[in-house]
Amino acid sequence: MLVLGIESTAHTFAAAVLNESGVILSDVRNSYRAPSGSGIHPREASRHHADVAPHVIKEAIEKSGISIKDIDAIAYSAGPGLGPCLRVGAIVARTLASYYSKPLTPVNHAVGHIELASLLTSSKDPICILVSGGHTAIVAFSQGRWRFFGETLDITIGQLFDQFGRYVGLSSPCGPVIEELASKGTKYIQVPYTVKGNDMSFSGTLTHSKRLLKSYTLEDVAFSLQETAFAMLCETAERALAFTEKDELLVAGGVAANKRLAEMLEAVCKRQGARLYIPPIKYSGDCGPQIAWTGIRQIQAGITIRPEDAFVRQSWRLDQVITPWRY
Amino acid sequence: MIKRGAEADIILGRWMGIRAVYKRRKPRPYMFPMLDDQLRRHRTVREAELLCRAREKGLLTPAIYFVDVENSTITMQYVHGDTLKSLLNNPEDRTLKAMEDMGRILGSLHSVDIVHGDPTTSNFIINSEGLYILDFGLSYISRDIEDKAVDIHLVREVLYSAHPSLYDAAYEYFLKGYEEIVKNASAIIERSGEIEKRGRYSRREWIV
Repeated sequence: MLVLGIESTAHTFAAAVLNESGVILSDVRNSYRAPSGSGIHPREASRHHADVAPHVIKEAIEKSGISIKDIDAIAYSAGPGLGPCLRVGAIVARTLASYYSKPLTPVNHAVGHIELASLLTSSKDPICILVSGGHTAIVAFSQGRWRFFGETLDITIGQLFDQFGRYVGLSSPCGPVIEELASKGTKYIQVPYTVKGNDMSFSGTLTHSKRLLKSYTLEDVAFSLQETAFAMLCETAERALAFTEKDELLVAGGVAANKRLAEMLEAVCKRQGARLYIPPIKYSGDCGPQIAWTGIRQIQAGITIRPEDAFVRQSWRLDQVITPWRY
Repeated sequence: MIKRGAEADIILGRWMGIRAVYKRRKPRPYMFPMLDDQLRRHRTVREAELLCRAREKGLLTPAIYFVDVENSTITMQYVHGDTLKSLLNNPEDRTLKAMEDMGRILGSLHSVDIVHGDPTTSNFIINSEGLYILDFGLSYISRDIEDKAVDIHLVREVLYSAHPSLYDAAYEYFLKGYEEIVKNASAIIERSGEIEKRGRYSRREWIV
C-alpha cells in the first residue's frame, strides 16, 4: 500500500509517500519563515502553503518514483493547527482524492507525531512526551486512545521559546537559537517553577524571564528559562512513569531535537528504570511522513471519509481520537 | 523500600521502636542543583506543615514523627491498606463509597483553605479506619477559588486518563462528597471548567 500524506498545520507545508512497511519513499517540505521578531501569521502562512502546494506535491510524487495513479490513498492533517493553514492541506487532499478517485483519511497531527516516532524508534507501549509549538503534554495509550497524564495549563514550551525569542528579536521557530544561547549561559537565575499535580504552567516563567533581561545577560536568562521549563517537564514525566509503571519513554514533536532535553530525560529514565526513545532530529518536527504513516494505519483500520466531508478541526484534542490499530 | 516514587523514595523502617515510613526526597540529577535543592527543601517543609494542619482538622493523614530538612526526609506513621488507584482499577463494592470520601476529604481541606496540589488516586489509601490522604508536597494555603478549582481539574484528569471506564460514576460520587462539605462548591467546579477551556485545544464535554 502506498499513501500520500499532506501536512499543513502550521509553518510547514509538506508531502510524503510511504509504503505499509514504513519505508519513506519521498519526503518534501517547504516552510514559511516569519519575519524577525514576529510569529507565524496564519494568513501569510496559508498563502505560502497555497503557493508551494503544487510543487511540493509534484516533487513528492516524482521523488517516490511512482505515478500518482499508483497511490492507494491520500491522508491529510485535519488538526489541531492554524485554520487557514489546515484548510490549504484539506483542499489539496480532497481535490486529489476526488479527481483521482482515491480513498481519503483525516489524520490528527499529534497522533502523527507519536506514530512516526514509534515507527522510527520501535517503542511498543511508551509514555510519550509530546513537546512542540502546539503541544506540551505527557500521554500514554489506554483503553482505545492516547490519554493525558500531564500537560500545560497555558502555553507550550515551543511557544515559551518562540515568544521569548521574538521578544529579543529572533524569528520563529526560536528553539534552536534558544538552545544555543542557553548552552553559553553559566548563571542560574530563579524563574517561576509551576507544577500543579502533573500539569505545568509556563506563562509566569515567560513573563518573569522577559523582565530579567533588564538585569542579566541574554545567555544567562535563556539558560535559566530552558533549565526551568525542562525541569518541570522532566519532573512530570518522571511522575507519569512512576504512576503508570510503564518502562518506555518516547519523545515526539519539534522540541525533541533539543540536546539538553535529551540529556535530562536520559537521567529521568535511568532513575525510573525506563528506556528513552528519541526519533532522528529530521523527523521530530512537522513533516509529511507523520501524516502518511498514520494514514496507512487508518486506511488499514478502515477509517476513510468522502471528499465532501474533508473538514478541518483547529482544536482536535488528542484524547478525542480513536486509534483502533493500537488495541 | 516500599516504593520508588518520582519525587521521593518511601522506605519502611522503625523510629523509636515503632514502625515508620521514611519519605526521602533524593537529589534529581537531571535538574540544575540549585533548583533541585530549593524544591526539595521547600516541599519537605511544606508537606510536614500541611500534613499536621490537615490532621488537626480531623482528617486521616499519617502522623509526623520527625522532619530532617537537611536531608529532605520526613519520618511518619506507616499506613497500611490499598490505594484508591488500585481500588479503581479492580472495582469492589466499597470503590464508589471511597470516591465519595475522597470528595469529602478534598472538600474538608478546601474548607480550611488548604489546596492539596496533587490529588491523584495513588495519594489516597483505604483501610478499616477509613480513607487516608497523603503526599502534601505540592500543597499550599490559599483562599482563592482558582487554586481550589485546579485541584478539581486534576481529579477529573486522573479519573479520565487512568480510570476511564469508571469516570462517570467515580466523578459523580466524588462530587457528591465534595458538595456536601464545601459551601461554594458550584463556583469552584464552574471555575475548573474554565481552567480546562483555557488549556490547549478543546475538551470533551465534562460533566459539570
